[in-house]
Amino acid sequence: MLLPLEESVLEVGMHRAHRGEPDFHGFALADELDEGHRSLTAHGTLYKVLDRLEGRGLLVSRWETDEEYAGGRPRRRLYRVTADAATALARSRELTRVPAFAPGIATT
Amino acid sequence: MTTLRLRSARLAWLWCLLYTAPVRPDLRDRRRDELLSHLWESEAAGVQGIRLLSAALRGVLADLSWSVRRGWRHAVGQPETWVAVAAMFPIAAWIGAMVSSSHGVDLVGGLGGPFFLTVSGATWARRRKG
Repeated sequence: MLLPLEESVLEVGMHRAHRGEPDFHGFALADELDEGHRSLTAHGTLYKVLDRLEGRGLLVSRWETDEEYAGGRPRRRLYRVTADAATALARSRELTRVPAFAPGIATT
Repeated sequence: MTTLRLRSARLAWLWCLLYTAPVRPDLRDRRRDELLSHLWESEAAGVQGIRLLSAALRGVLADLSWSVRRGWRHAVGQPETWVAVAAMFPIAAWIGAMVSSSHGVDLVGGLGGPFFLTVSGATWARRRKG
């Protein structure tokens, strides 16, 4: 099962992949996660989650190539979701779904 | 750049240097480079100093737990760690002997040191082999 922030990260990554922009870096992710909110995701929490998702094979990362690197700024670490991310996200949501109340089912 | 933003970025960077210090060099450098990029992007996007400071402070516990987990794993593989542990036994035995007349204290003090020196030797041999 994934943590709520892990689910959100995968969701953003999958949306980006659908939009044809699969690669994202830490700050862009924080910015997208916090759209409409007043506070940015904490640095420590964000990079720990990215580290954990990568360890579970749901994200892959790499440094920008020379062709991508514009210069004049620090090089970005780029992440993208793997093929396993959608399955893991669906499974996690299935597990965390609150069962609907169905009167009469419970027996004594 | 406002003073608060500059100070927040400096604080976040100093904290990063600190909590990444005990971590394996490749992981340490990666986290430092990522945070440096993050702080640069924050500045370029005009993130307010107070938001930057808040993002850094709220992540302190996560940073620490990451550092302990990664740092501990790194330390376990270092022979120097076990030499330090071995050195604690004679000291502990000496202190223990002052407060207790039990022979158990001498035994633990006498055996613990050589045991962890052996572990240190095995770690060194493993590292050399690997």
